[in-house]
Amino acid sequence: MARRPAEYQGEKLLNHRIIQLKKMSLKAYGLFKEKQKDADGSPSETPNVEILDPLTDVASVLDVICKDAEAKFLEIGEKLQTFYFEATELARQTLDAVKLVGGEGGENVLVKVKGVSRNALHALEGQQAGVAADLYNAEAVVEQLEGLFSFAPVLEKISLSLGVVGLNIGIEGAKTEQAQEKFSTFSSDIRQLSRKIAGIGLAINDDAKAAMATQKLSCAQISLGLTRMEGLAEDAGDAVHGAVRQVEELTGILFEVMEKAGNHSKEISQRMGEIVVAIQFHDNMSQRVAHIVQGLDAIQNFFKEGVSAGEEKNMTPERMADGFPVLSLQAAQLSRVISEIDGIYQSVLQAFDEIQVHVKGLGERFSTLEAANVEGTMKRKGDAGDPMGLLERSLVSLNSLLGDGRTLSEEMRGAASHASHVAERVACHTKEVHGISFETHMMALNAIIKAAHLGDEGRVFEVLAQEVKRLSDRSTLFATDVEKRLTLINASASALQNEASDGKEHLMGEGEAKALLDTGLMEITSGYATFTENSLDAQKRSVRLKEEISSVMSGLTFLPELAGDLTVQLKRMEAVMAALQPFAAETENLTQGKIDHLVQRYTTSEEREIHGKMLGAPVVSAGANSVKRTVETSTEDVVIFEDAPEEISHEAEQGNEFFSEEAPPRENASNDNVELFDDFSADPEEKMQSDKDKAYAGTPDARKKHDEDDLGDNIELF
Amino acid sequence: MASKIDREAKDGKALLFVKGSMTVYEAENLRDEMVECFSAYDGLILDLDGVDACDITGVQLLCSAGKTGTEESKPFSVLRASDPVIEALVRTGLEAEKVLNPENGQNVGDV
Repeated sequence: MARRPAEYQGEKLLNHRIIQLKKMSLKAYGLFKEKQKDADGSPSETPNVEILDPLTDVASVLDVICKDAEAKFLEIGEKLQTFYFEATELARQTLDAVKLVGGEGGENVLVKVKGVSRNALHALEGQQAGVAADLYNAEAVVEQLEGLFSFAPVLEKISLSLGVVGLNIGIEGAKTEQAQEKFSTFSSDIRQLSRKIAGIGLAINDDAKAAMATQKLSCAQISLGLTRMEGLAEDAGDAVHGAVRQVEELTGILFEVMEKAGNHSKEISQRMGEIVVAIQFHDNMSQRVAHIVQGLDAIQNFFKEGVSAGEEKNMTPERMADGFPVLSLQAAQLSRVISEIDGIYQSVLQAFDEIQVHVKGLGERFSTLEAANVEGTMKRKGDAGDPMGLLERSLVSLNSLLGDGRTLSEEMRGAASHASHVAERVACHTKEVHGISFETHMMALNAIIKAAHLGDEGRVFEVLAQEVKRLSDRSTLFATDVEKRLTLINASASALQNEASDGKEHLMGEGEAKALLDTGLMEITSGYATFTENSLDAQKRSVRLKEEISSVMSGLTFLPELAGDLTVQLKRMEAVMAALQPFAAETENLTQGKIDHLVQRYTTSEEREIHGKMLGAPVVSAGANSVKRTVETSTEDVVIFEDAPEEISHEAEQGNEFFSEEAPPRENASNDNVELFDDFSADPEEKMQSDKDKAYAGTPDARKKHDEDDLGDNIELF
Repeated sequence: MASKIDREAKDGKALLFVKGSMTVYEAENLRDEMVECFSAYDGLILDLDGVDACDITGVQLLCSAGKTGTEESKPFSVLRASDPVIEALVRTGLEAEKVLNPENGQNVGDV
């Protein structure tokens, strides 16, 4: 992330201040030397130790300021936590909405819509094909029944002929007693059988006629139903396809809107992460101010120790030489803290500015969504153009057609069953005919034999008996033909019933399709309602976010106030330094040897850096003149401080170099403080990697959650 | 004895003299002759005095001839009938007069 102008400004100011402090020290040294030259050997007067008294107040005020600031940091932290939660929830809601309308998983409304529509149309097409096949079989049954009907007169003729022959035999048998004895029974039996056959013929005729009529009627009704179904199915199919297209368009728009809204939400969350990281500064600040306070106390004690108790209260030159740099150092540390507070304030303001831009963008997206929803809602109230409503209606229509198809299939089953029953009855009749034929045949054979016994007189009877035999053969043939036709009828009827049973599986399939359709419709409606609800909720949340931004930003004013309060104390310190300045002890350079003990107190990299700069020791940093602290947020590292800009001049006077190229040796550096992102290895690249590792070490889940669009947790603040 | 059929024309009608059997064996031949006479002449007269055997088939021929004459509006009658013919008629249960002279207006088909 590029360094913000405020940070450059702060760093520039700090470095300038440090330079000024050093100049003051050197100037003080120069003045002292001049005074010494002017003196007649008599010692110069050093200032009274009471001049340091304001430092006690400064120390206590700094302490109070920090404690007060901590409460405000916590308060702002809580506000940011709420804001962060809302922003994260918003991002999640928009992402969920995007998945619902455009995701690849099973939740996608459009995928469900297409699946349900496809299944329904498929089921309907299958059903239509089934009904058409059933109709074909039913018509075949009709044809076969017609054939059966045409057979009936054959049996009638056989019956008549048998009757006549029987009569003839009876009459001839009356010629002689012998003939009468042999053939009278035969004659009456034949005539009786003839009447039976006539009855059977009538029954077959009636059954075939009735079945044919029923079957024809069924076929006509089913054919009509099928034609109607086909017409409606075509319309329903067109409607479904049209509705699916419209839903597709609508979800495309929604997806685009929500995707953009999701991007805004993500940006907001990321900026929030940056702010949260920046605000965790308070712990760092507290430690450093505490060290400054300790330093001020130590300075006063140090100076007072050099004063004889109860006698002179003036500070010795040696004490001045050793103590003044320490005071300067504390002032530099405090100056750095103030500069960082200013920098944080500016960066947070900038982040909120960016957040406001994205919140505004969100509002615009949701306005588009609301317009689409309102339009959709208005359309859902009955307008034919409503895509979801149209889809629902067309799918309901399809469902109804599936029901119609099921009814047709059931009618088909009924017709098949009736045809089977007729075939069964006719089969019984033909069985009877077979029986009669066999009996007649036997009787005829007997008659022929008897005729042969009569000799010449039996010639007529032989002829007649042969005719009876022929007629019995003819009726057997008739029965066989009928049975063949019945086999065909049964086959067609079975095919109908099997289709209807498949049609039972078919019916189950259609029932299943209906159930799937019902479930699908519910899921689509529910999914779409969830989407609409989430979108509206997200919109409300974005409005809340906007309001919370104002609240949070107003709470940030404590930062410049804090900087101002600290600046007041800094000026008091500088006033004391100014008073001490003319009397500061001779020193050729500010060596670190006298104030090594202060380094042991440091727990932050900033303190070490200032220390190094002030004393001309190697800078505590990775690069030449830099302290880089990186903290990972969602997708990129937030760099709080980067390399010093080139325009900041590095002044060196009389051989004293205030800014060193080398990093100072680390002494008792603590790794416990989470703000300590620097290590003091010589290799800058290792240091940068170490910085990152430390940042990740401080937030172990940050990198993991980054992949899941999570901004990570701020341990210090929350 | 197999039958012998002689034909003569008389007043535009055919006159058939049947001698011998008039049973199921001769029925076809006699039938053909009678059909030809009905188509070629204005009527048919049978002389059955020479018939020595007659069965139900012969009776059926006579009934059928009477019906044919009525349908074609051509007179049909039997001039003379031998005893076997009369006996066959009686055996059948038909009225001889109605069968042999259907021009009298009776339905010869009634049994």
